[in-house]
Amino acid sequence: MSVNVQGLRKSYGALDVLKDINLDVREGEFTVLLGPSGCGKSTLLSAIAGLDPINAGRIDIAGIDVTDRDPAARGIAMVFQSYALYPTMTVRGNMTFGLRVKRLPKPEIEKRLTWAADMLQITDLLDRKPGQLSGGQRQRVAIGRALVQQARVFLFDEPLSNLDAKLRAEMRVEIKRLHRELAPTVVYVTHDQIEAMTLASRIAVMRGGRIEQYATPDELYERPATLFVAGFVGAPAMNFLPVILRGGVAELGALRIPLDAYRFTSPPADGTPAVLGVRPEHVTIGGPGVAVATETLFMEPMGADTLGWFQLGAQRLSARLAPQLARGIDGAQTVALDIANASIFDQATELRL
Amino acid sequence: MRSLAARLVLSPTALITLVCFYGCAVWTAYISLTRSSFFPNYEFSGIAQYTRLFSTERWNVAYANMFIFGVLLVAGALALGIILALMIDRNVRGEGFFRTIMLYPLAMSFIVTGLAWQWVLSPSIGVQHFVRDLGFPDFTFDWVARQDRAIYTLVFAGVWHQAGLIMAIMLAGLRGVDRDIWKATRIEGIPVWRVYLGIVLPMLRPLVVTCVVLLSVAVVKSYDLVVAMTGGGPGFASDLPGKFVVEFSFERANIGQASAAAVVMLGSIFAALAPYFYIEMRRKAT
Repeated sequence: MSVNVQGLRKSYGALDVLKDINLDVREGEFTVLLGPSGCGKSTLLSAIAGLDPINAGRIDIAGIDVTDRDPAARGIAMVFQSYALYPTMTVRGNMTFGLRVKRLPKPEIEKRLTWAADMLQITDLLDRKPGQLSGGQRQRVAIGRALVQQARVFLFDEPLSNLDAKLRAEMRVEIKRLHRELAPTVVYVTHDQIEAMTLASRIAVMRGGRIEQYATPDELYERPATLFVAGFVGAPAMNFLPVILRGGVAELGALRIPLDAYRFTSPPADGTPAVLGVRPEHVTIGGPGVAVATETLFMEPMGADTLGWFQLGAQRLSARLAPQLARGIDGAQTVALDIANASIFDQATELRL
Repeated sequence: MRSLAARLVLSPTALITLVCFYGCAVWTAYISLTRSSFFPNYEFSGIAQYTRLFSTERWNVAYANMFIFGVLLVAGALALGIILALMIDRNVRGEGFFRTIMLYPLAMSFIVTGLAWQWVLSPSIGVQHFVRDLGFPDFTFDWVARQDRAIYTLVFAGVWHQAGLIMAIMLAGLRGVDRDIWKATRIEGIPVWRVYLGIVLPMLRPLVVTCVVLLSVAVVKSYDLVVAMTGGGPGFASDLPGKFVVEFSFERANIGQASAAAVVMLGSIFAALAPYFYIEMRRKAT
């Protein structure tokens, strides 16, 4: 079932938290709302769930206007960061309480419980209390409680933020598997870009109550629409070089970088101040692109790669290098900037050029 | 050296506690096993004081009253306090106002509470008088002056006095419930009353236990309320053990009987606290 948000506004007093949000989540799609804290992503999720009243706009779920409907009448299920399990009930009680309140027939409840517990491999935990479970197990139960409601739209509010790195990776795979097997529509809030990149079919990057870009992870990574998206997505972060654009050349101090390989979406006027963004993997030694002379600063071994730092004029430049290659590097070094895969943003509007 | 200094500083407190509380408790317990009457008498006499105590009608009334008063006060204050807390929890507007109003009774001493209620309930000047003046000359509400009802008027006053405290404790607990739990139940479409009964109140069980303990202690030690409100009367119909002990030791000058009564009270307090400690220990064990 699709989720469609149009012209959504939300403010707390004088503070506008969401400014004219439009979001279209297609059936079966896994949409991640990504952004730093305070960008409004959780507020947007609450608005979709119907937990917070909105000031303007319209929300459709499965083509039906649900703007004024109770959360329970929207056909959604939700998983919270704090798990929000009912502490005095067993896992079984947690997962079935809502169904029992709705007076579903016992065999039906049992069937759903067995199915969900099996799906999440928590069958042997059913008689424990949440206090006796680990964080990862609790989150499985919380997901199980959402599953038994058999909603077609799942909302996740930073579900993995309370878990340690190892469990987080494990649960990420689990959520991905569930999405593949059940193909529900998902809206998932996180500030962790790895979660966003690995899980999403499309990511909406938010900042200051607006959606900066809504695109597939590849598109987002390769062709960021704004300077903010370029800086927020990708680790290690993209290199930003402040340049002046003049006649197809980027001027960086005395350095001239020809931009013949770059495909402009809108050709800029001469003398436009701009930011040239190059990802560390597109700064190479002996690779394709424009060769520039630099001074080696230091190397940061990260296991699979080594992050090399070079001084280019007044700027620092990071490069993702193969460890064997990085070991021999020192002193003056010529590196290549792969302009075909770079991004250029207007410094004033911060939009992609 | 530091621990020596600490011990020195703490020793007066420890000494006072040891002598005044535990020492006196042990002495009282011992006296209750002797033939003391006007003066302490250290001649051992077994449980004679207790047999005599429990064949004194006044004590039996007072001791039975403690249970009537206790059960009704605990149940009444708990129910009223929880209902008030739930109402405030649902309707946030004017919360500070209501919370303060309901806590006022607690700020008043039992003496003031008792006097106020004595006036309100007194047949000649209180509610009965007022309603009769309104034009209902046959209206009767004289519980405070009736042997079989006086104890219940103490319950009214006690509940009025204690409900605010229970409300404050329970409200704090209700506010401590994870907001996400409420959100989760709204999405599941669980009605508010089912959330309270099925999820939230069971979560607050330790707080309820605390409230019961606080109320039980208030029951066992209640003395001033009786003195101010009914004076234990009519006759000794609304007497409570605390008043019995004070009167027997200072007015009737029967220290043996007073000690025996005090020991029975201490035992009752332990009995009231035992479930609490049991639950606490069990919680720590798991």
